[in-house]
Amino acid sequence: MGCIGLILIGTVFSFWQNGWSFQQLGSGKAAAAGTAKKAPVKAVSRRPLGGDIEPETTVWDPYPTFNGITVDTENNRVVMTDLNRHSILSYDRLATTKTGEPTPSLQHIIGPATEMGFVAGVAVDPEKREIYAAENDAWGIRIFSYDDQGNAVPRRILAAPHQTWGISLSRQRHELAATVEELDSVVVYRQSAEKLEPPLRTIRGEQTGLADPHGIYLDGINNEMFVTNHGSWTKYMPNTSHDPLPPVIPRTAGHTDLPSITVYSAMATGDAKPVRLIQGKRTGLDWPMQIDADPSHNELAVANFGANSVVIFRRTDQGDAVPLRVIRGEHTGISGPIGVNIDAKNDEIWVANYGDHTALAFARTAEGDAKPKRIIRNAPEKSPTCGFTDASAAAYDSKRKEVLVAN
Amino acid sequence: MAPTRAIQGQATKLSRTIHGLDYDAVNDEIVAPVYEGGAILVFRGGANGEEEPIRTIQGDKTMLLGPQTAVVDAKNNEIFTGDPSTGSILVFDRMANGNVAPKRVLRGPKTGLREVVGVAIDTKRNLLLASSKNVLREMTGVLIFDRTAEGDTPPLRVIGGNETGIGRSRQITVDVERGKIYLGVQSTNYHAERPYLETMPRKDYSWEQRRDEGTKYRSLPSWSNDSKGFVGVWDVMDNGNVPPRAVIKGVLSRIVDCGGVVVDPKEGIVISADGGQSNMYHVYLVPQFFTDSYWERKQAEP
Repeated sequence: MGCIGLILIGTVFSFWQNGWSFQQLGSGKAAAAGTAKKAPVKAVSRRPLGGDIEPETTVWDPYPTFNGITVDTENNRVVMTDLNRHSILSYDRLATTKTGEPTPSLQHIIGPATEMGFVAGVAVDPEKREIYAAENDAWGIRIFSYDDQGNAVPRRILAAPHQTWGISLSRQRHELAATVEELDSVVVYRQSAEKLEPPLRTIRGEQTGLADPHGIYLDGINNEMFVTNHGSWTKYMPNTSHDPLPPVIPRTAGHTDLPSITVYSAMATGDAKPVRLIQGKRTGLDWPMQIDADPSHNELAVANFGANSVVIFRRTDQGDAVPLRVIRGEHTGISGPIGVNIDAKNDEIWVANYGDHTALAFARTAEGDAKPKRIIRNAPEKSPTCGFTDASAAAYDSKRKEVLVAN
Repeated sequence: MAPTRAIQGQATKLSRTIHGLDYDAVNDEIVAPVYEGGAILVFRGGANGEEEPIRTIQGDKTMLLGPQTAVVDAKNNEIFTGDPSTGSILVFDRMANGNVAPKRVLRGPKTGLREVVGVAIDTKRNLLLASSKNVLREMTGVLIFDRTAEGDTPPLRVIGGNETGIGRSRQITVDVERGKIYLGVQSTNYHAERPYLETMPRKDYSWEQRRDEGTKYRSLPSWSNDSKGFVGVWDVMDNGNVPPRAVIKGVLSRIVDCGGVVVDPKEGIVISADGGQSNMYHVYLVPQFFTDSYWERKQAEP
């Protein structure tokens, strides 16, 4: 996910044309040749039919889609990852658009040299002027500078497990913590780690309560770690063609629990039980994504994707806790929220939407159907999103004439 | 373009890594695998929003660990799922629900199955087709079994090797009437190993290995100038290191990384879900692909 795990259905437009034509390969429309050696042409080799056929319809979103978000109050900028166009965008913290046009960005890191794919979590170091972006579908955490622009090579790359999603930087601890979905784990690195440097600590095991973990916040003041979990769990087995198979299929029960927030000591390692657990129907948690904490006010904020809301808890809440505040409603502009960040210095809370092309700044104590103070747009107002950022499978509903796309 | 419907939210039990998705037109149901939760979900065809599945196959008796693909055989009332975590194909009754054992398990070294990321059924010829990646190049591609194969049974045929162009692939489907296999091929390059094994870097991995386009994994068939993905079409009787009978590939096709493919012969369309760096889906109008004369006439020419 890069993928989130949802099924989108789009209408197939009706299209019929009179007659048809076909092309064989070798028509001259192929892309530029690579540098690999080609196998010699066989005497009776079969040249494929078909060829470079233009689609009748292409569905895509040409604009960025925000994912993680973080605010740098020292340099007054807000930074987001973009899952759709595989990029990082930075804006002036006070930037806004009142006319409906895209908001000018300070920085847009994008292009093949960046090696970014499905970038999810993001963190910044305001003093070092560094941006950390987690790669969810390939692997790695890529570090860029505030001075990077366009098709920039990462300043550093830290190898990390496949399906790393959320990341959190603690400047007090000089550590970078990350969640890994398929391993139901948390890995913690030195902040300046790179290449193949292994994690300092790993939290993993059935006692941890980690179940498809997403957002993470490493609290260097209270020395705790907060993780949001979607609730799906199964025993992980290495599953690529490079890995050996188990001799027998392990009998283990996959299960789908209620979503949760699990809290650990910052130094937790191994199969550590959480010190606190927020879980239950009253929490309102629904596919909780990024989580952020405000140690000065002792509050937690969660981007609550499935409920189109942001929920705020007390930092020390546990059990089936009712949120302290909920921001939700048609005037909020919250649509498929994935990113959330609390700016305690300026008394604001930011939300990054996956469901439309905006990031929103609210008053920190906003609740209910509150309007945002400012809106950052990465596309013209009312530009739709196609809803997927990794079209990994498709089906066709012949009854409704609809295309189903898995994300 | 916004979707007309979206099935999403906590109650759906969905997770990432849905590499196969199927619509059962006979029973008006949608089937999806759940990689993160070891489950198979069935939704009603008109499902929308945060709607619960009508059936969930999950639990220790199911033998599911991390299924990534699923397909419905409505004729024989079965659901087939490919699980790369165990290198297996599990078959359930179509109405299975809860913690139930599979009817059949296809698994073992003779099967050649490893990273099974696509399954399809040819109900006319009683065939089971799997899109599978293997450390052996010639076993990466399409493995064809008898529909009721189980245990450690070798495939009847394997379409794999350099000339197929299949470096890594995902979804697979069949035009049953004409016996044509459609495969979503992501790249002609073989998939490089990742630097991590679970939570630690692999012991035998060096930093220089990280590039996918390194010599070790680069591969190009004689009929292509580039390693980009494509929709490949083979015959169900094809075997060995053979090029596709037809492709949709090239700059105009817009395909870069084709992970998903589905066809509707009645409407004459092929749909390609292009993930990776693209994030698009394309609909191709190719009614010629769904006529016998197209394949017969061209195959007769030298």
